[in-house]
Amino acid sequence: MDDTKVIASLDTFYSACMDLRKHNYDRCIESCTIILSKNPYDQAAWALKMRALTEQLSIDDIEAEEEGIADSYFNSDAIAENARVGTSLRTAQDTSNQRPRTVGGRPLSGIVRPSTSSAGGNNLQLALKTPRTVGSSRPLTSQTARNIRLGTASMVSQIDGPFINISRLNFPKYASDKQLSKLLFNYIYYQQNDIRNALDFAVEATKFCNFKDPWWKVQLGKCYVMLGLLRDGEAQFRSALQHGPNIEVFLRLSRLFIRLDQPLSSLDICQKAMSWFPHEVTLLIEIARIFEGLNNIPMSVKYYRDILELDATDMESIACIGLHHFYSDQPEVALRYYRRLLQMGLYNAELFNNLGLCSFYAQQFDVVTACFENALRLALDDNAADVWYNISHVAIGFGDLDIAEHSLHLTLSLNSSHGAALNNLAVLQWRKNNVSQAESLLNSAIAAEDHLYEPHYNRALLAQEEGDHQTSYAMVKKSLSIYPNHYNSRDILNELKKYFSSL
Amino acid sequence: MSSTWIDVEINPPINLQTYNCCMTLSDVHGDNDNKFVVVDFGSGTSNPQLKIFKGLKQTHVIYLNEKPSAITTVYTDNSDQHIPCVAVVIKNEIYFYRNCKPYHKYSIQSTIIRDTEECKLWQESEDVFDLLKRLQVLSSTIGFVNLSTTSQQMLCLNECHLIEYFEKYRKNNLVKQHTITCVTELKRNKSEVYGVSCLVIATTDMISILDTESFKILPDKYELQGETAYMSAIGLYDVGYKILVATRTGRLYIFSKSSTSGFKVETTHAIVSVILRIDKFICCTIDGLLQCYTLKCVSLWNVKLPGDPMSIVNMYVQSMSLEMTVVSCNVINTDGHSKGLVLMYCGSTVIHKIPMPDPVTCIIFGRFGQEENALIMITTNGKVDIKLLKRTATFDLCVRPTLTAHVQGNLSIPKRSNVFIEQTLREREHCKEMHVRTQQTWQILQMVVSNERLNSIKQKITSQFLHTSAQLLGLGPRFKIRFLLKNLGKDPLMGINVAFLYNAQYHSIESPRCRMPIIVPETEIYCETFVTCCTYGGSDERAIDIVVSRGMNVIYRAKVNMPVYNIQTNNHNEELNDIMSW
Repeated sequence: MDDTKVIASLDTFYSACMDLRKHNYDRCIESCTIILSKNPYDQAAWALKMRALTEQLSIDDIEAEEEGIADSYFNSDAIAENARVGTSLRTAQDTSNQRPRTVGGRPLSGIVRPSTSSAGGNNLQLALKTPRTVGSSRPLTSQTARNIRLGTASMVSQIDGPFINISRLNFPKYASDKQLSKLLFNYIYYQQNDIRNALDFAVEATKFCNFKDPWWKVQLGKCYVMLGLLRDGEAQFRSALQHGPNIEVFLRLSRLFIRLDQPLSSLDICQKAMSWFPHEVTLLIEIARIFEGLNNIPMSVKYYRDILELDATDMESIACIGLHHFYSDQPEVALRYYRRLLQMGLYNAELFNNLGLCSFYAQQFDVVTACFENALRLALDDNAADVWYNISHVAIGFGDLDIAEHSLHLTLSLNSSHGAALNNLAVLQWRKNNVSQAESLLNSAIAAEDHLYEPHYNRALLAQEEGDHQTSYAMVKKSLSIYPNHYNSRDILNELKKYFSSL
Repeated sequence: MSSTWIDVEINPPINLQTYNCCMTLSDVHGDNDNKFVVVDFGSGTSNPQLKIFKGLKQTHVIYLNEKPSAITTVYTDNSDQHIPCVAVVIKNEIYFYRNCKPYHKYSIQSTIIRDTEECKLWQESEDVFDLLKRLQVLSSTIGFVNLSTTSQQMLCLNECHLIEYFEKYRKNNLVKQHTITCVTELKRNKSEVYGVSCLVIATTDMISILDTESFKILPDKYELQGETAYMSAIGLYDVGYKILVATRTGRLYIFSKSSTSGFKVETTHAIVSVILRIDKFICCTIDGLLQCYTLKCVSLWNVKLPGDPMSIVNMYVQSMSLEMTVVSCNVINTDGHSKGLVLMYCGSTVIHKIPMPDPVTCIIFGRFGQEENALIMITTNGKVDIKLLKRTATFDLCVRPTLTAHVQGNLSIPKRSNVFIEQTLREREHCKEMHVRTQQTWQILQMVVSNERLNSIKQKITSQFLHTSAQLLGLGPRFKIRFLLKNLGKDPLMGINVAFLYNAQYHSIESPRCRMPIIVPETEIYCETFVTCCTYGGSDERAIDIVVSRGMNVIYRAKVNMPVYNIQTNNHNEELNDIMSW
């Protein structure tokens, strides 16, 4: 009782400050509103409310960006279409053919990041045509997901008109106020998500402090990047770095180069940053991710290992190293890593699915089913399809083809364009001599996911068996264009060449 | 061509029928003139003859009783006369001829077989045909090669001689006679030409070494599986040596002094011939691949030959210190006639080619007469062809890309981790529990899967006969939905309707219903409609449902997630509204 009395007797502004510290943003805003209703010119309360509103919605926007279709295809900074191998994320040479691909055709990564779903094919047609289900819809613009949430919040909270009407703000006046200007900028940038006005404001502010404050330069850079003026952003970041090294700026610069599809410059930046901050985990993560994007898995894993030495609880590193071990035929080691994740408190369908697969391939059959049951229990619609697909694999391994077929059907009922499932179902049907159904399933698999070579190869084999050499030739060509070293495809091609030359 | 080789005119032509292993170049009389020693098998009607040619003139003939499997020459003593022995291998015996006269005969003792199933069969059987039947069964179970020689001969006999044979051998012990399949020389302690040699003898299942000074078997013995077809040895017996053995089934072994087991490679096809060098060996397989391995059996390169290989031989030109592999191939012309082609490989590159009118079956390179570098070739019709390498001859040694066949990269097999070993221990100790638990949980999962499948069929949200996929085209706010339907069944589908269910608050759809025409199996048809986003809203209600129905029942239902489009326009509207209300 006494405590509440004490709190009630507190100064409203002080309690508002405390609420902000305790992340009680709503109560903080309430208190500020009360103060402001009494005295509309109380700058402290105004600033506090602004801060609370901003922090309510602020996110770590360094990692948040997700390239939209419009950004990646209508880009005026378009880099050469056919970049040299190893210098671009799009033409990264595929060295690890064991890893399955994502919908975008990239080898799988150990963790789902905003950027893993994009950076797909070079073809706008393909990008627009990608099958959409509840699970996969790619944003059209970069003003996406999280940013939009900011926008909605700003609208919802304006019951009695906006807190600050930006269009009627006197920019030079506020920009000259050193106390208020940074808070106000953050409010405009994060809370209102009004990039154009934020940019105008930042320009005024940096003019006022004679272009000497690196903070404003970074903000200018952020605005330019959001508006897609990447080269201007780069200039701002670089000039900010002249005031002294700063991890955030290095990271933003590295991200910018990735958007420009210049991973090598990005690596350069990170290495430079590492010379200033040799034990910085975020920089190491950035480097590891870039190497992964370049398909240089050994280097990527090396950096992830370095990260774990500095920060043993980094989930991304554990997951990525685990994945690497799994696809380099050491499922028992991968199992260790995933178990560590489980011990760290991660509890989701994906993890149990991975644990199940690892224990299956490490021949610990007694725990496999338990893991998959857990995965199914935790799975939502979008990942349940993959869990069923993996169960079908286990069933095939156990020789239980009926269950495998049922599982594949269940996969398809959840995600009708699951190319791998269609392909496997086709093979199972083929075994049962349902050749026509196998054929149509393979065709659907090819239509659903163009980046898999297996359906092409299977279709070629089927056509070959039926004596349809022309189709077989076309299909085997496609299979080889996806996976140039596929031995069996080459076999078929050689046979076909012999056959055609004998005609 | 004329700048490299001098053709020797042979008039009248010499005709020989022989194999690569039955010819050698050696100074058999010790007169510093290398003779061509060869076994002529003739037309097959007469017994084979060992012929010795001095130059083009045949000087000696030794008549042999049986067909030899190999010949070689060895120096058996350190006398100053330097007269070698010609060793001729016939069945289980080696005949040594010195100065063309019989000098010694060494035979491998046959072993007597006791207490095997085969012996029992012989003892128990009274009737010859009964025995024959049972022996045939036995031979199919344990293999013909594992039978005793007595039984083997009986199985091969003509029916009319059977009874006679049976009566003759039924009281005797069964014997296993070891046939010598291959022989090669291995210098004892001096690598020079006149150094005393040992003989490496390959019998059907064993490699042993014979000391030619005392005619006693030395203690080194190597065992292998399969019959030796080709063998080659390098090094000195007293210092260190390597023996390369190729079996008829395509296995390659490398044995070295004082190691019991050798390295091993298995080729996919039968081997034509092998060449052993100091640090590598080359083998040629019947599928036309010339393969090179290190002595630890790591593949170095392989080359596809232009034709079917007939024989290969090593060619070492001392004056150029050039080591080459001579391969004779059978090339089939465009008009269907087979022709010979002799290729010289330096490493994996062809540096010289000699076209021949007929395929060359036998080829040997070495010192002939006084000539250092002579190439003697025998074609399929038995004609002997001799070419001498000019002293001024040069070979084009520049490196050029070759048609290397697909080299099988080493598979990256990870090291066995400690965890793995722990796990195998666990598997070994708790195998029963693991098995039972696996079975139990799997049965439960089977039920779960079946139930789920049943549910999904009951809900009728998917149809086995209909494959569908939806595409969303456009950048917004106006999109086009394209819905593709494909009939997987055998009968055409009729009366299919497609409806798009949407929330009118967020979207408007031009034609939300679509009547599909008859859908023929195997073809894909689609319907399209335009969607316009009206307002911005929560993500869950934004999805559009696609329902496919046939008559009254719904056969398919799917959700299409609508993308959110640019919020900036919304903000803009918002501002306009503000101004209006102002």
